[in-house]
Amino acid sequence: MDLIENSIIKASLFTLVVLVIGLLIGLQFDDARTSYIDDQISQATINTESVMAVQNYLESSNNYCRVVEEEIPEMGERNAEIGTTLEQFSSKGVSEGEKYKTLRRRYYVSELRLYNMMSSYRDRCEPDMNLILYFFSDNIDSQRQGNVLTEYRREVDNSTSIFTFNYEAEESQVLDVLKTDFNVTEGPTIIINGEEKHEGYVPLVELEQILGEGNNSVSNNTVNQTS
Amino acid sequence: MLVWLAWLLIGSSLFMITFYLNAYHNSPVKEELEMVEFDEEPSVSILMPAYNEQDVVEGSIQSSLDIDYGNLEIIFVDDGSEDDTFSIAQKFADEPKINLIQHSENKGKGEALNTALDETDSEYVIVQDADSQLDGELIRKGASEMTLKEDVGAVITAIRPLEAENFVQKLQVIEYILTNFYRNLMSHLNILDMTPGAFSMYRTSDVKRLGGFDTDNLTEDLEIAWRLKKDGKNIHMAFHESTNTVFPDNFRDVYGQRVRWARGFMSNAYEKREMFFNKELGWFGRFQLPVQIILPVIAIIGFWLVAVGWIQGLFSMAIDLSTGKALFPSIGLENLERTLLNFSAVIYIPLIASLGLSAYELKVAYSESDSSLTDLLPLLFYFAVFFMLKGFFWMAAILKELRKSEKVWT
Repeated sequence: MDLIENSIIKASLFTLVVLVIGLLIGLQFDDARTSYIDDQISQATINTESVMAVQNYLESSNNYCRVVEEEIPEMGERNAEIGTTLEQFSSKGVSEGEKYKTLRRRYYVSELRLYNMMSSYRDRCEPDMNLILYFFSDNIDSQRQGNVLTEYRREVDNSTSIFTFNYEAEESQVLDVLKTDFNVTEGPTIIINGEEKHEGYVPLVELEQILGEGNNSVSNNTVNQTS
Repeated sequence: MLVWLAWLLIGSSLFMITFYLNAYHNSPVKEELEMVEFDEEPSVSILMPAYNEQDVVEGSIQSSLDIDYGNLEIIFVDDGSEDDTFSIAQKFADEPKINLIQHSENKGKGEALNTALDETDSEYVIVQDADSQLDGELIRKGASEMTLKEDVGAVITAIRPLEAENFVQKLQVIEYILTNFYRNLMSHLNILDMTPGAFSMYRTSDVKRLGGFDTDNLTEDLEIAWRLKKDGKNIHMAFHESTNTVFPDNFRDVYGQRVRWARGFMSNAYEKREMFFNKELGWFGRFQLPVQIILPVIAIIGFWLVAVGWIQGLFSMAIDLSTGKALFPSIGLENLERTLLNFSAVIYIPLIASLGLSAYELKVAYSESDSSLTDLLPLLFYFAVFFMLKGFFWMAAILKELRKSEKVWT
């Protein structure tokens, strides 16, 4: 075997080995990512179910608001974090496409359950608390809207809970129901407290105005009152 | 898709680095070329074409005259220069070793070389740019190599800068240290495909038999090298000898030079396409030439991958700025597990391996060249940006070829 043939074989084998090692470790990372999100959704679900159980137990008691009050901000934050992580991780995976679809469905179920629980809490204990359903797509306005909502929660009102839904996600019954119920046709769209729909990008200043005025203002964007 | 393109880029890089490192560890790269004790030194002519080289021509001719080699003549051809190149060269008109010729108009480097070739009966000819300077025992070594080995049709040297004062020249120093290292390995593997214009020594009878230099070619040095290979000759390198030449000192000149080289390569590859994958040419046809086609493709893919990454990053930053988002959020230490899981192992593990091997190869190349790394900034720029520029040069060259732009010898 001459030196060129020898070098070609060794270089090919070495390259193959390095790429395969990268792939195998990458697959392990994929597995770890989906497990991580799975765990996070499970914990969020347990937390929501705990609060709902407490809600049922203390149905007629005034202690309910006081008991649940401390849990609400953390649950909202954790929910938003899971959504962000899910979108980040699903874009990095080299496999597990189906697994991410399932995780997204589970997450949306968990989100709807949390949304229902928080709506109930809002009606009963804290009428000034804002709940925002945020439908996003893969476009620039959605990226901007995501930033605005994050900034709003971080800088203006951390009691606001944001529930994110990928408008283009497939095979989610929860998402389909929400899209139909609120007549959502594009991303970004935000639904404030289940009543006000804003299609298109809403800047931070405008969002502050809308939410600051007790959900009664009209934005420059399309605003539809949902039934 | 991006992952597969990144794999193609990193995999190609890994393959080439490993290929040459394996060749390095299994070939006697440190050996000098053998020397012959000649009873009478073979006759050698330096063919020195020049076009608008008034700043360097005097030093170059003087340097050639100072070479300690008895049987040497210098055939200087001014190819219709518009500056004072020829009048400066005429200062040496009384030198018996020098033959001064002037073209009435600029005919191109190939024509200038053929004019000089017609004037010589020497056993060997040296092609040397007017901005190059030779040193040492180089001519004896070249003549010895071709005397001892009938299959060797040309001998080249390492190329070093006459000066490397500014950033652009320092970048090229790094590039040439690697290029010289690769060329030496190619020489040992008998797949060297280049006889640089700065210095190349040929057997005169071979060049004349092959019809002289191509007159309508942007890279006549590459063209004659491929014709020699097709003729069954090998090109060897005197790695420990060097030719000092002027490196372009600004990006505009580097662009012009590289685009010319790339266009020359493309037209030669097209004209000599029957050499690619030609089994009769051995590994040169089956490996070296196809690799020379693949590398520009990889450079262009690399350019777009990095450019798209930068554009997306800048775009996201602009969006963040426009929406008032903090540009420098927390680095994720509060949730280390999630931060670690964001690591794209599929891309970064091969990339880290490739960068590690590149660093090792660079160290070896510097060590073999008896050079030391003094400037870190050009090195970082070379690896972070310069390879992207190569992809850009290739795209510019492709566009110029498609538009059939005028061929300019710079």
